[in-house]
Amino acid sequence: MTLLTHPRRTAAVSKEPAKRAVDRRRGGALRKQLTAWLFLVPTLIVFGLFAWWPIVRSLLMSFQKTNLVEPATWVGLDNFRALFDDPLLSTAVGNTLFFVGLGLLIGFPAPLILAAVMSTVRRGAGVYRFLVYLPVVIPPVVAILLWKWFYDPGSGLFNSALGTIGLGPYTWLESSDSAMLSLVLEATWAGMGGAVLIYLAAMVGIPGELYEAAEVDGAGIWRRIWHIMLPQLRSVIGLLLLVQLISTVQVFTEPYVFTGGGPENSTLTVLLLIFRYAFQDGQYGEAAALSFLMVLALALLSAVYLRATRSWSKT
Amino acid sequence: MSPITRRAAVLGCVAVTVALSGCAAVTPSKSGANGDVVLRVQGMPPATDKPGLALFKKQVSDFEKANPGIKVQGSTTVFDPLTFSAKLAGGSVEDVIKVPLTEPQRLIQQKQVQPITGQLKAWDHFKEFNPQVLKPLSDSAGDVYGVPQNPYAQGLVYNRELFEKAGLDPDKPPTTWDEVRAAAKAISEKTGKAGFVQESKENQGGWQLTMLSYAFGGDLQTQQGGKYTATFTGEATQKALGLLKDMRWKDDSLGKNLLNNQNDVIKNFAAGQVGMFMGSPGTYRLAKMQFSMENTDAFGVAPLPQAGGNATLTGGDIYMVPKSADTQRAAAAVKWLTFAYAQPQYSTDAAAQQAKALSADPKSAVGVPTLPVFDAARQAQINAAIKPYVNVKLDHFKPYIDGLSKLDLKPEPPYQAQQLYTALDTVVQAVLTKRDADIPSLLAAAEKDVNAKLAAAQK
Amino acid sequence: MTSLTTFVSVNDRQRPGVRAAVRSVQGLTLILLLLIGIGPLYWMIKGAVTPPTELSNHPLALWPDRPLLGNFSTAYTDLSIGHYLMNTFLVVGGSWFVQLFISSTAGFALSVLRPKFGKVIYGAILATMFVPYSVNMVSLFMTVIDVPLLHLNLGDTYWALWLPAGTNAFTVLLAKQFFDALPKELFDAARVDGANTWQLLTKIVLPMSRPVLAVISLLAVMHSWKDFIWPLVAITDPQKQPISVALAQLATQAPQDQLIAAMVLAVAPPVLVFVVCQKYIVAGLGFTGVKG
Repeated sequence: MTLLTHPRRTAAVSKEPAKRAVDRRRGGALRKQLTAWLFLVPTLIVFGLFAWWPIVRSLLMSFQKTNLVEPATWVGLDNFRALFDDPLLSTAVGNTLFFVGLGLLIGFPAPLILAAVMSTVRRGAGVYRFLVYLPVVIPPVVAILLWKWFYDPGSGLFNSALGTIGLGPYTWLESSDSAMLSLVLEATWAGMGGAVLIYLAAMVGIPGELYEAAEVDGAGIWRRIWHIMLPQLRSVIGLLLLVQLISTVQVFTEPYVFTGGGPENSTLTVLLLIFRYAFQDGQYGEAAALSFLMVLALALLSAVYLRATRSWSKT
Repeated sequence: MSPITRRAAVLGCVAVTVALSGCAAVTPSKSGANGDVVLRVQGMPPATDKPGLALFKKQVSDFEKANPGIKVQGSTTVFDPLTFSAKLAGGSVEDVIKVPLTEPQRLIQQKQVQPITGQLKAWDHFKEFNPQVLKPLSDSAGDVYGVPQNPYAQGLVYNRELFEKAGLDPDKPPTTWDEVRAAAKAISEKTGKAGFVQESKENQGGWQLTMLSYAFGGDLQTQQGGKYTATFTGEATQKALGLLKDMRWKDDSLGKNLLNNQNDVIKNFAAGQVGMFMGSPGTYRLAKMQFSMENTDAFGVAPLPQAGGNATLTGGDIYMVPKSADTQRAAAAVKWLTFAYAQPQYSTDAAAQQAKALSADPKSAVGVPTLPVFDAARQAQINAAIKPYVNVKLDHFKPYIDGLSKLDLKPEPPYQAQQLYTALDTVVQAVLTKRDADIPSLLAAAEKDVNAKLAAAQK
Repeated sequence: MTSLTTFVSVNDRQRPGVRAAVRSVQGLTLILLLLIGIGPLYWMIKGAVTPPTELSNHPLALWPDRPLLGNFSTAYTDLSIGHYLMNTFLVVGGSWFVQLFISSTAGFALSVLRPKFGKVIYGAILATMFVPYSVNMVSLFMTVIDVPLLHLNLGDTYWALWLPAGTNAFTVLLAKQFFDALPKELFDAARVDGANTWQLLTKIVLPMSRPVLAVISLLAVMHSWKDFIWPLVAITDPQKQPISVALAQLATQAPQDQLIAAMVLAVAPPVLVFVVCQKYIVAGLGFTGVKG
């Protein structure tokens, strides 16, 4: 194929064959296109059916009413109206933002600090890495059930242990004041390992000369952390911040398994509300409308992410 | 690596092709090889329930012999309100579904099940059905949509052993809610266990508050001019919650785990950690067979204690035919319902045979009392017929049986009960977890939210 | 592994005060990591072999007086944990394969073959990066129970889990970026040698891309092993549910000690795999720069 398209060859032969060659070249290009698209067919089918169409369909369903048995009818903005009339919507959005915020407050600095300590370890670094990542490989449902047992107000590990030093008993999951915090603690424990390892890899990649130069200039350990390490990690920190934001906005398993959204809806999150609308109340239209709003929110975050990475890669 | 990858890739293409062309493999077969009607039915006991499963299989083969041309396929799938509509839409729902008594009204209103009155009338004893039992499975026009099995009325389940330890008489269980409160306080103080446990999540908090309101003389829904509205703010419901609040914050007799569903409660009861809870005699089965309660002699049940309402809530399993079954399969389904569920509850011979088969396994529970599906005389004959095979301590069910006849049996709120329960769950949780919970305003807020939803749905 | 100079320099380490401080911070961190890494797993195993009465009477005992091993076999057979684990292996295996297949063919087509409008397709794929299928669970579910055009019902079949697993934009991106960096001369040389496009993929591109294939595999396996919400919605037949969904149901249906034994069995396969392949997994994560 490469030989055929070589310009000198085609120039050397007479007009008639040259035309044929052009035809063949066109045919070749066409075939090349066809082959390429053939390789894309599985992707197009899978993405088309299970990624793109559902997003479009959420939008369409937002304006429809259906009980799945009878054909859907168009209802205009009714679903959105019902959604905004439902006091649970603001509860769910508030709870989700609270989870995200609390997750950032607790779950964001912790891995950075752990990684910083681990970066100074020379012997046995593998042991640290193994331990820190171990919770991540535990399937979330198992981890949550385990913590649910730890949180048990009567015979749970936490209240029993804290009781021996005269603290508690704490309500953990059983009160609307502490339930969300309990969820965040578990989620932080379960998700921290990945972030630690990524920070660690980035910290190891910082050239030692930078620190040495700073040391020669008389910078102490804290100043080296502040003026060398953190600026060097800027892009990684930003990336992980966004990844954490995006993944915590979609929190579902924790409230579903821990509390079912209670007590008093204090752990009802947006995804749990979508689930309830659809599979508990049969309000598929409202569920789809809320899904679509969620997609919009995520798209916004993605746009921020893409813009941010572009500006980072420039600097 | 590369030959393996290639083989894998080829395999993948094959797999995709199969996936896209293999309709037959993924949709349930609608008819058998030789034109037989294949009837897919829920209600097959799981493999762990060996006596139940053996009985079911025998019923299937007897039925197929008596009805050539129909093949029955049992399914262990249980009705799941979360996914039912979607499964119905996908056409993968069985032709007979087994649902708890909380569901029929919703399914009937959403037109997801079909009436079976016409064919059911062909059965000789249709007229003898207890009308009270049929009412929750009928629509307003009087059409019947299902066949009930083991109907029950809610009572008070209590741990006889803990009663003794707390200095209470296990043969004289509490009959009023004041007595319940005193007993719960005694149990929690003397044994350290939970005196009384109230369910509070997965809509079961609302469900239990409903029965408690009934006992206090309340109702949670009224109908006016064909429209239903929720009435949470009645005095009875407020008093019922006030009782729970006092038990929780003054007596501290509700135990430490306050967020429970029914399974949590029965599980803890089976482990001897719970003094009392609102439940039916049927919870005995769960406690013994599912949660391996060792000391089953401690299981006692009384009628629901009262505080002026003189009423209790009914429940049970209902077998229904979903909309998705075509005429042919619906007809076969009703035949199966009559054969497998109506007849054995009517015929003393069939009942005795079943009881005998079940009692072969020591882990079974035979003789747990139920409400009469037909009239009381028929039920007495059946009880006499199964007597030799009973393996539960009937004495411990005696307070329940003796007291039940005095109570008014009330069904669940007829319209969108689950919506009511969801809202009431929140109220119950607040009362149980917040010392300063303001009951009237909580109920008012919940009522307002629910009525907005009910109004929208009835537009 | 780590470079000698971090924010704590070689000189710092020679100062006794700094050295002691660093050592003690490291030591405390190790204790903390033991507590949060091994601690919960140990406590779970302890709970699985402790009789329920002892569990509630002596919650802080480090080991039961009479450990019960029977719970494991009860959980494995009576609670059908063995069966659910098998389901999970099937789910994970199929999802892994679909994801690998889609990512490598898509990456290959977009990076090497470069059809017209390939960029548009790539953009459409990347656009879904942060919209995981669980957000659209309702419309996806309806798609799955009645696949458009084909009118198949995939509900309660593993195809309902396998096929959506292929829609991972991130692994497509990883594959494409890796293939972009492969030397183009190799492809031309292979063409000259008469390789067709399929052979180009399987004989040249894939064998050179083992690192990225390993990372995609790792992400695919971890994701489908941990996924909860979508299997919960898509698989309602209790016989077919993967372990995570089954456990959530069992949580209220089984006695506490048996439940904990079931959890130990559920956690054993991934933990064992991690212990064995630790080095690769940790390296793979460094490669992606993103959490699993």
